[in-house]
Order: sequence, then C-alpha cells, then structure tokens
Amino acid sequence: MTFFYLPLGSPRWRRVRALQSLLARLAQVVLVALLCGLGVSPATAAVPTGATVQQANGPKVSTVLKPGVLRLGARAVLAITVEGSDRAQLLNLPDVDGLRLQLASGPSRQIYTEIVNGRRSTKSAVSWQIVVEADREGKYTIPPFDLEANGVRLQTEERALEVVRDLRGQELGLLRIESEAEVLIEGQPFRIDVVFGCDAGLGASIDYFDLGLPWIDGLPGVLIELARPDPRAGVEPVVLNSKQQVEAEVAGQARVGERVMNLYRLRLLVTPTRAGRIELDGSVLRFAETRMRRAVFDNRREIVEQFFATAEDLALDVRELPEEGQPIDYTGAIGRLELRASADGRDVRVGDSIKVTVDVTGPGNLEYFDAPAPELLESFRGFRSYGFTEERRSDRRRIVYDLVPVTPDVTEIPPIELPYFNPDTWRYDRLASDAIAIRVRPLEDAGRAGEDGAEEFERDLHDLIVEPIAVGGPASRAPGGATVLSAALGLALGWAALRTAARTGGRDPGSVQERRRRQALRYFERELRSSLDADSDLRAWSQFLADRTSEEPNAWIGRDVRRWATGAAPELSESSLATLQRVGRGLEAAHYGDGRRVRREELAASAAELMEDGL
Amino acid sequence: MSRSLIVVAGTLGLLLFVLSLAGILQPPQTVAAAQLAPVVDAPGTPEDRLDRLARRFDDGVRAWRLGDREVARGMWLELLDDLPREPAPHRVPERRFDRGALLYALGNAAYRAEDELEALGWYRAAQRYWPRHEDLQDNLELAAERAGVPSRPPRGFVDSVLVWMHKVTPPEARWLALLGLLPLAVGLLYEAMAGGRAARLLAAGAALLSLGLASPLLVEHFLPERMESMVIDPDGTALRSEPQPSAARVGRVEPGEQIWRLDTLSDWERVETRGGERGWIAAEDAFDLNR
Repeated sequence: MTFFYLPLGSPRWRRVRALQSLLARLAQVVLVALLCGLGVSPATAAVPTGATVQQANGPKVSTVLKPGVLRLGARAVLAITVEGSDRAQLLNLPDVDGLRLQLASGPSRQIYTEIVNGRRSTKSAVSWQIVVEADREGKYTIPPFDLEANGVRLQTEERALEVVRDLRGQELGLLRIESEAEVLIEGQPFRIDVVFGCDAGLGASIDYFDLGLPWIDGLPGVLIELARPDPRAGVEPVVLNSKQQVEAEVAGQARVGERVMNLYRLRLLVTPTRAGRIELDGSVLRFAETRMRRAVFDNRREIVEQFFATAEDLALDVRELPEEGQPIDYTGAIGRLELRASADGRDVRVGDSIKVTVDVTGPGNLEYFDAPAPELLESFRGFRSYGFTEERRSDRRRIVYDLVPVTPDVTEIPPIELPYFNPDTWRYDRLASDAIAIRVRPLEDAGRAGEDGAEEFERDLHDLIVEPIAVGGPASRAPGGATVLSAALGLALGWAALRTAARTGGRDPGSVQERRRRQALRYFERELRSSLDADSDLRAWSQFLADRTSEEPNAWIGRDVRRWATGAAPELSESSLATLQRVGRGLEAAHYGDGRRVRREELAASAAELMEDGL
Repeated sequence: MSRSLIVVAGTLGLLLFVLSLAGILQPPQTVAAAQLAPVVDAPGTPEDRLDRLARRFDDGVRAWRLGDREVARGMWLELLDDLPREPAPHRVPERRFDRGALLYALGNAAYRAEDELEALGWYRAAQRYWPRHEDLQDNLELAAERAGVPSRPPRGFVDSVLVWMHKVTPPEARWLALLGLLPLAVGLLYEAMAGGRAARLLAAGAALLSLGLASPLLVEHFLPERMESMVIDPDGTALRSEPQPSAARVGRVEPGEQIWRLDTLSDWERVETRGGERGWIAAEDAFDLNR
C-alpha cells in the first residue's frame, strides 16, 4: 500500500497544483466543446439527469462516519441527519463489497431550538444510524445514500473507510481529546485540544500524522473552527481526515505511562448552537514512517510503516440558556468576559464627536452578541448617538461609539453596560465600564454655525405683542345676532308669501303641464328650426297652443277661434284673436290645400305676441 | 282675503330682511364701555379711560424691556384683575382693549420664569380671543414641548368639532351666518317660482350650506361655553371624592390636561375630566382658562 504525500506549500506541491489546475481547465474546454457539438447546453449538462439537488434553503443532509479508520473486527457507525425536515425517508442501503451495512436505528425525529449568530430558531431533523462492519482489510468507499425529504430527492456525501489490522499503534502512539468544560451553555464557545503524538524512541522516522476526527465535519448543532497555533511553540504539518493539511502546535515531550512521547496539539474553537449532547467519538490517529521514492517524472513520498491509535470517546452536555433572571437588555453575550472603555477626547466642545471605544475580551461568544445601545439609557440623555462601528474577532470584540455631547452640563461619559451569562456562576451578570470624566465647553458664538457650515438657530418664544388696543377690523362691523335672526325670518316669510302667490288658483309650478307651459315658446322655436314642410309647421303650432292652454294638440286643428274665445279661454285682445285665426288658417291651407307655407319668422313672432297677450 | 295675506306677509318679510341688512351699515360703537366698568368712576371720557388701560399695559412692556420681568408680570396681573370678565359683547367696538395681548404677554412672562405649564395655561386662555394667531400657536407648542405635555390634548370627534367651531370668533360667526342666508335666498326663490323636485333639492342643499355656515353661531348660542381649567402641577394631581386632603383618590389628572370646572370652593374645584370622571382637585393645581 502506497500513499502520496506532498508537504503543503512546498515548491513541488505548487508545481503539481499548477499542473492539476491546467489539466482541469483543458478538460473543461474539451468537455464544453463536445457538449456544444452534441447540441447540449453546458448549463443543462451541469446537472446530470436524475441527480438530486440540495436546495439552499431546503432540507440539509449531513453524514458522519465514526471512525474513519476501523480496526478489523470493530464496528463503525455512519450517522445520517436530515435537518430542516420532519418527513424524510431513507430510500436505499447500498451494497459495498467487503462491508456489511445494517440499519441500527432510525428514523428518529427531533425538534430543537438553535442559536446562530445570536438568532434563535426552531428546526426539526430526522436521523438514522447505520452500523458498518468489514470482512477484510482495505480501503472502501461508501457510496451516497438516496433520501427523500419534503418531496425533494437528496443524496448523502460519499465516505471513505479504511480497515486496518494494527497491534502496536495504541501502545506507541497517543491521541487524547481534551475539553475545557464538560457542561456548557448553548452559544458558549469553548476550546477543545486534540493532543496527539508518538513514542520519542521512534525518533525522526515518524514524519507523517493523519488525524481522523470524523465529528469535525457535519456534526449537527455545532460550529467548529481551527484556532491558529502559537507560532513561538513551533508548528508541525498534519493531515486532517486524510484530505486537508493543517498546522498543529508542538507541545514538546512528556512521559505518558512508561513511554516518553513527542506531543503535538491541535486547538479547536467549538460553539454549540443548540442544547443537547455532543459526542466526540471515533477519533483515530494514523502515524507513519515514510520515505521518498524518486522516479524520472514523479517524486513521491510513500509510507513504509504505519500505526493507528484511537482516542477515548468524549461526550459533552450542552444546556439551554436559562430564561430566569435574564435582563431585559440582554443581547446574547455568554462567557467569562471583561469590558473596558476609553475615549479619544476628553476636553471637547458641545457638538464635538467623541469616539468611545469599548473592548470586550475573554473566552466567550465575542463575535455573536449584539452591541449594547447606550443611547437608550437615561444616563446618556446629554449625548446624541451617531451609531457605532465594530470589529468582531474571536479574541476581542471592539465597538466604537460615536457620541456627541449636546449640552455643556455633561461632565462624564457614563458607564456602558453589557449584560452577559456567566457559565462559571451559571447566572446572568452585568459588566460596566468605568465612567470617563470629560469637560464639555459651550460653543463660542453659539448658534452661529453648525457642522455643515450652515447657520443654526435656536427655537424660542415669539416676542410680546405690544399693541393692546384693537382698532376696527371686520369684527367691529359684524352684524348682531338679532340682525341675523331678522334676516332669516324675513327670508322665510318672503319665501312663504312668494310660494303661495305662485300657486294661486291651484297651479303647481312644478307640474308637467306648468313646465311645458313655461317652456312652450322655446320648444316651438326649436321645432320650427327643424321643420321641413307645412305638416311639421302645423303640428308644432298646435303643440304650442296645446301647451299654453293645457289642451290636446288636435283640438287646435280646424278650430273656430272666435267661438273658443267666448268660452273658458283666457281673455285675449282682438288683434291676438285675429293673429291666432290668421296663422291657423294659413297653416291649414298650406297643409291641406295648395296654400303657401307660412314663414318661420311670422310663426315665431305670432307665438311671442300671443304669449305677451296672456295666452 | 288670501291675496291680501300674501301681500302683507311678503311685505313684512322684505321689510325685515332689508332692515336687518341696513343694521349692518350702522357705525360701530366707538369704545367698549362695558370693558371700562371698573374704572367708570375715573374721570375723563371712555376714550381717555381706554388710553389709561393701554398705558398700564405699556408700562409693563417697558419694565419687561428693561429686564424687570417680575415687575412686568405683576403689572399685567394687576391690569388683568382690573378688567372685568364679561360675555362677548353684542357688537365689538371700534376701539377696544385686546385681552388676547395681555394673556399672551403673561404667557411669555411665565415661560421666562421657567414655569412652562403656567405659560401653557395663559396661552390657552389667550386662544379664546385669538383662536388662529400663529405666534400664539407657536409659543403654545413650545411651552407644551418644554413642559413635556402634548400641545393638542387627545379629543373625541365631538370635542374636535367643537374646538374647530371655536376657532371662529363670535363676530365672524355672525358674518358667516349672514353669508349663509344668500345661497338660501337663491334656493328658496327658485323653489317658490319653479317648484319641482330639482328646485326642492336645490333649496335643501342651500339650506344645509346655510346651516353649516351658521353652525358656529348656533354652537355659541345653544352650547354655552363651559368653564375650563388646566392642571399645572408638573406631577399631575389627584382626583378626590370630596374636597378634603384625606378623601379617597378616585382618579388622576395629568399635567396639562384640560378639565371642566363644575363648582368652586376656596381651596378646591369640582371638575369633570374629558373621560367623564368627576371629583375634586386642589385649586392651587388648577389654572383657570376663562380669563
């Protein structure tokens, strides 16, 4: 069995990476050209038919195989978790030659509350545990499992498993997982040291370490990041999970049992995002002696002899953040924190900006809590806050407030407070900076110029109005109440009288007949304008007379006007009667005989004359 | 018979209408004699007495300009005591002492003495005479802001309408009512002569418009102004069931809150809040707004 190992960052490693990159680009170009030739869009080709897609906001699958290196005869456990779904289904258990896979438990469903970046959310998850046993030594690949969650098809990631027959590794090597606490609070960052090494007697022959920490990737509910080693102690490159090279801190020599060991330390910063149990098990250290094999085109390092050491399993208890005693202004800070504040200027004028720098240090979730808001405190009433800037680091949180004193009465920057949860005392405490004494001078020429150069003015009272005698004006000529009342009464009486007069004799000015009577002349003139023959003239004339006398139009055809005048007709003058008779006869002669058509103007004038005479 | 009745009624109505309009053209009374009642024994004509009142006000202004603000305040308070409280006169005289100016000056004096709540009271009292004066409104809002109370107390719909009505002074209300008779006259004339549904609708619309324009006058006459106070204790005051310091507290009145005054004892006032609660408050905590 050979193993290729190139030190990270070495010139040879860089040459190989450059070559790999070039070959990969060439392969892409060839593939795209081939696909275009086949008429397949590269975009559609990027997703193979039938492949499952993991949606960004949909269910998320994680797979953990513990341990990654298995001693022959022992069992490994493959844990599959689908987060963000409570209805997931495992569709198949793949067959792998030499391995036996058996579903040990699941599906088990759970609902949990998670805190990420200070935000709390409730999620659900489904998980399975599959026991893996090997029949013989060798390197195996466990292919992806098919799953279905919320109607979406998903796949697990491929996992590698190495099965070895090792008898001496546990004796010659050391792997220990050390946590600074075993009971934690959700959201509380803590440190885990992975201490490893081998017998100093093996000397320089051991030059390869591979840490198999299967829980470092994809452990649900935990954020893990590598801490930078202390460069003063010296560093040693090691391989993590057979795929990534990292630097471990040299921890020197120590006696472990009967042996003196060369030890190294890998530091991890771990933040649990939800309550529950964190199980760090299945950790394996592979350490080996390698030698360089030189060839014409390829120099590679191959393993001569290798050993395996396992670590004891470690379980941590993560508890929920207590609600009891939580301050109203709690912003999510957890840890053993310290707070210090300083100001960039202590002798200022009203309106000058003071940058107040607040440093929060100590082991805790320095990157994740929200900055306190001093402007909400009553003690900061003499200041106007223009916001803050901040720098989030794992070892220090720096918040720089921009405060402006608005009055010369301010004598100090009051303490800035930060409520936090102390995991040592297991209760909420409050940090406060010391008050910073300042001197605020009043503005010279106050009110002359503002920050932007524009003039600023104070708001103040309008001055006295020094004329106490009011003269004239509309008010002095206003009518009295009696005047208004008299006018209203007069109006009502006048209206009643006028209304009664207009309806004398039982006439109703609002009736249809009365309206037609009033508008008879207008209608007649309109009809005349559209009249084309004597027939229309006669009909318009008889309609006019009918409107004025409240009779039928036909009654005015062939009527003896003199006889009608002696009856109930209105009193008309002799000339009006003559006109009425003359016009009537003229129109009838034109219509029934061969008489000349009466002129339109004569008809209109006759109608107006009759109306004036009281028709 | 009926024709004669119509003629008589019409003539009478016309006469009334013309006479009432003619009354407007009469010259106004020169000086507010009623305002001068307390000094009626003083020698001189009403014009002279009015000038003397103005000079007393000016003396206060002079002291104010010289920086003797307490002296000025005392002079104005004394002047206010000498001016009688009176209902709105039937006709506003041509020359009259403007109480609004005096109350406004007293508001400024209280504000400068850092008694913002009392200043707010003086300004609200002045608003009865100057309901739409911009400077007064600005000063009122400034005093309310400094006192930490709302410049416009929360009101119900009816209260808001009444406040809007009181933004019209009594003489203006009468002008508006008279103006409203003109569209009514047109509408009624048309209805009398033409009849019909359209004419009736027009007359009804004109009547509504007329009623709307006359509403300030109607409110003034039919809803007599209630006596009002304002709480000027910065901590508010307790509403008690009886006029005794040991009486049970039945409510609380906030600083700046306006209340109706129902009764007065020497040290106590019986009041009704806008919320309808009734009780007694200490007179020293209340500021009379009807001045």
